[in-house]
Amino acid sequence: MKKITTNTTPANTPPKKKYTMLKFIAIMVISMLVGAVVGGTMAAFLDNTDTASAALLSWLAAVLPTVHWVVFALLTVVSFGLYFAARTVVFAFERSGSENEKLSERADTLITFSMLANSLNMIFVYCIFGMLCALPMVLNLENSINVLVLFATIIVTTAHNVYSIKLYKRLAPEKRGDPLDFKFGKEWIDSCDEAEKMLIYKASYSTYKLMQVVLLAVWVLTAILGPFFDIGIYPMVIITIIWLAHTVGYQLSAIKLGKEKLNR
Amino acid sequence: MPLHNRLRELRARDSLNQGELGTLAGVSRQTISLIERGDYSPSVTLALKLAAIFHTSVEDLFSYTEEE
Repeated sequence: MKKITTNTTPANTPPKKKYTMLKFIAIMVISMLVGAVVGGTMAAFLDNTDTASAALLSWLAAVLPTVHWVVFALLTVVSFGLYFAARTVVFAFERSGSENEKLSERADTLITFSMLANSLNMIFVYCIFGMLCALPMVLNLENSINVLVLFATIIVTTAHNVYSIKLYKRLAPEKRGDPLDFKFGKEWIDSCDEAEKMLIYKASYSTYKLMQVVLLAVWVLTAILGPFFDIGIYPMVIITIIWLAHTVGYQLSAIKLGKEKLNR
Repeated sequence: MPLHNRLRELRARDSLNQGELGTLAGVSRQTISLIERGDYSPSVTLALKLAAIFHTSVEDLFSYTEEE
């Protein structure tokens, strides 16, 4: 049988890395030594943790009610500031006959950062409110302003999302979906073309890999800080649930997608 | 970037802007921009659609050169 040859050069394959097993073993040994030192240090200070943790909780109870609304105010100003800057650029892009690529890219970047600031606003306000609820000395009428901040955040971040999506649709009129609709995520991604889906895939996979590291780091942190703050098993249970959802969710999606048409 | 294209040239010939070409091809203006810059290689389906819009062949619209 005649051997088929081609004139094309084979795809560049990276050289095989040497000593990967040795490097892995070295990292494991160093990690064990660091863990032993940290554990020993923790044991030495464990008797003095009650005072330290009580002082920290008192300090948090004093500053968090103020930090709560300051964070909300700052991030609202930032997110809407970026939104209005993006709006100006979108209008300039439309006046250029939708031809100026640089204006389009700038508008896209500004909208993205605006939505990032908006998301950070929601996350920080929710988390700080959660901390306030967990601090028993803060549970009094004074934190009614913090309840108002929470409600204001819901309204402000939702409004920001709606305005940002509407603004983005001026750049990309083919996009579908109403951000107030529960089916928005599906409709939006169904209206994305192949390049946009590729971008979403790459960003999602990058986040998946980051989360594997973050979840491990959070587990280590919770295990170390647990004795200091007497937090019980609840945080570990929550971390486990998130870790399972993250890993099993991805694997099951991959199995399901492997049986479907990938590029429909 | 090994995949070259004549998208911008043919677009100018037919007086189409990126948005109009995107609408004809069923993709976004941003995707057309990415393809023209060589930052994205279209799928076979999209390449065939683009070639049909310009009444040309895929080989005439896109060319591939080996990286040294």
